[in-house]
Amino acid sequence: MHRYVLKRLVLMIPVLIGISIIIFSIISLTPGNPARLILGDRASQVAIDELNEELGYYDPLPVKYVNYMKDLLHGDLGNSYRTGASVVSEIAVRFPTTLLLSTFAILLTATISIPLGVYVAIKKNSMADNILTVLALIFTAMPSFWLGMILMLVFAVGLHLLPATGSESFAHFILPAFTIALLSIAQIMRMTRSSMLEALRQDYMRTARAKGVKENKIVWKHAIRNALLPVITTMGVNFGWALGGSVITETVFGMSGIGTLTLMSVRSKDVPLVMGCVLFMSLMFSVITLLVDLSYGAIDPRIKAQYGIKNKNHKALRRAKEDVSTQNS
Amino acid sequence: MFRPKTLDGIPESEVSRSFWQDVGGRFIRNKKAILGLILLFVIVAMCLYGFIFIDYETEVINQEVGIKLQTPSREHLFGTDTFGRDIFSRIIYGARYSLIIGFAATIASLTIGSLLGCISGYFGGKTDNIIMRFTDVFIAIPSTLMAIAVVSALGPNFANLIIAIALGDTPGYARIIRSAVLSIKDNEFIEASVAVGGSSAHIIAQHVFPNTLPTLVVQATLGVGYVIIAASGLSYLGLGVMPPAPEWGAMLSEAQGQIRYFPHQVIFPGIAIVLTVLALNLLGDALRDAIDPTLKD
Repeated sequence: MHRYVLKRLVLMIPVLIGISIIIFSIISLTPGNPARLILGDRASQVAIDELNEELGYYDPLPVKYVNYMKDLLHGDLGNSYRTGASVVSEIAVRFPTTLLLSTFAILLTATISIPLGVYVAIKKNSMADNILTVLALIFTAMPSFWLGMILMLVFAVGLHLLPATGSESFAHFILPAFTIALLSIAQIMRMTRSSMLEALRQDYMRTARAKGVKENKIVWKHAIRNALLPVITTMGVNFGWALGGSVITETVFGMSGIGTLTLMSVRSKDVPLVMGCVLFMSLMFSVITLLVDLSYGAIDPRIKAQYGIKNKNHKALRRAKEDVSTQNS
Repeated sequence: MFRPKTLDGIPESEVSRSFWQDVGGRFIRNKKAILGLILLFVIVAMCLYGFIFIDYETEVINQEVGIKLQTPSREHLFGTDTFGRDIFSRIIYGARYSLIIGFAATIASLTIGSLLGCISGYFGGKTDNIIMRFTDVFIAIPSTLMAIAVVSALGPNFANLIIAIALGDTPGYARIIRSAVLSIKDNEFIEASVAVGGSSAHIIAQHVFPNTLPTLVVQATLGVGYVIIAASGLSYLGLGVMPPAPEWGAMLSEAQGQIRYFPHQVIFPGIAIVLTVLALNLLGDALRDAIDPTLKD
C-alpha cells in the first residue's frame, strides 16, 4: 500500500512537468512586456530594457523555462509583475477562500445527491423519481454563472436573506457553494440512480433477499457499496476542479479566491502568477485524483486486495478506472 | 414502400434490419428524442430565418438610449438592455454564436480526438504510450483554465474561442475512442482483415472507426451542449465573443451590473442557453438509450 502511494506520487512528477511545459509555452505566446507592466507607462525605454534584460525576457524560450524550473525546485515561483509580492504568498492568501468554498460545496453535494439518488432508484418510475429526473435534466443544462445570478436575484436582491457579493463572512459562501453544488447534485444524483439500479439487478441482491436480509440493509449495505465507485470518482473530479478555483462562480460572486486570482493575472499578463496558479491547480487536481483512487480500497475490498499483488494488475485497474472517469466527466 | 420480391410472405418481424435502422426506430419512439428534436428545430430555424424578421444593424446592434432598460412589453417582448437594444432580437441572433461554436468546436475536437484514439488503440505499444501520456497531461489541466490561457495568448475572438475549447476537449475524446477501439480490435473480423492483407489505414477506416460510431455519436451530441455552456462562460468572463455581439454569455455579463434594478435582462438570455443545451442533452440521452437499450433503466 505505501509503495503504491509512493509510486503514484512519483508518477505525478512527469505529468506536472508536462503541464508546466504546455502552460509555459502558451503563456509565452501572450504578447506583453513585463518591464512595462512592472514599471508602468511613464518609465523610460532604457529602464524598461534593463529590467527586461534582468528578468530574462530576451532569453530564448527553453532557457527561460529551465530558469523557471530551477527556481521552482527551490520553492520559488517568482514574484508577481503587478504587485511585486511573491507568487507563493499571493496564492496562500487566496487559497483559504477557495478551499472553504469547494469543501462546503462538495459536502452539500454528497449529503444531498447520494441519498436522493438512492431514493429515486428504489422508487423507480414514481412521481418523485420523474420530477427529480426532469429537474436534474434542467440543472445539467444550466451554465453556472446564470444559476449563480438567479440565486443572487432571489436570495440576495429579492429576499435580502444573504449577501450578494464578497467573501468576508460565512454567509457570503452560502450562495456560491449552492451554485456549485446544485449543478453537481443534478449530475451525481442521476449517476447514483443508474448505478444503484445496476447494482440492485445483480444476482447477489437476490441471494441476499433469499437469505432473508432486511430490505433496508440490502440497499444501504450491499447495493450502495457496489454502486458508489463511479459516483465517488466523479465527485472527486468535481472537487478537484472546484479546488482549483471555480473561476466562473468566484467571478459571479466577486469572491477573492484562486479562480479570480488566475483570471486577474491572465488579464494583466502577469506571467509568473498565471504559471503559479495553473501549476497549483493542476497539483491540487492530481492530489485529489490520487486520494480518490486510494478511497476505492476502502469502499471495495476486492480492489484493496489487488494493491498487494502484481504491479500489472493495478495498472490495468487504473486504466479501467480512468476510462470510467473520462466517460463520466 | 418498395419491397424486394424475396421478402414476400415473410412476416415483418423477421425482415432483417440494420443496426442503425433499429436505433432509428427506437429513437423516434422516445419522448425525450421528440422533445429534443422540436426544441432544436425551433432554435435552428431561429438561426436560419431570424434575419427575415429582425434586422441586425437597426435592431440588434443599434443603440437607442431613449428606450433603455425597459421591462418586457408588447413592443419589446423581453424588454430592452442598457443601450436600448431589444433583448428578444439579440437572443434570436445569439443562437447563431452558440450553435456554430458548439458544433465547430465539437467537430474539431472529435476529428482530432478520433484520429489519436484510433491510432493509439489500434497500434498499442509505444505509440499508445506516448499518445496516452500526452492526454494524461492535458486532462490534468482543468479545461476552463486551458481555455483561459489559450484565449489570453491568442486574443479574445470568435475563432480563438473555438480553438481554445476544441483543444481542451480533444484528449477526452481520444481516451473514449481509444477504449472503444480496444474492445473492437480483438474481434475476428479485424483478424480476418489483417489475414487478407488489409493495410492498417484501411482497417482503421473501414472496420474499426465505423464501429466506434455508436459511442461517438452519443458523446458528440452531449459534447455540443457542454461546449455551448463553456463558450458562454468564457464570453461571460470577457474572454470569448466580445460585446456588442449578441452572444448570450456576453449579454449576461453586461446585464449583471443592473441585476438589482433590472432583473429582466438577466433572465431571458439564461433561459435561451438552458433550452438549447437541454435540447442537445435530451437528444444525447435518447440516442444512448436507442443505441444500447440495455443501458436504459
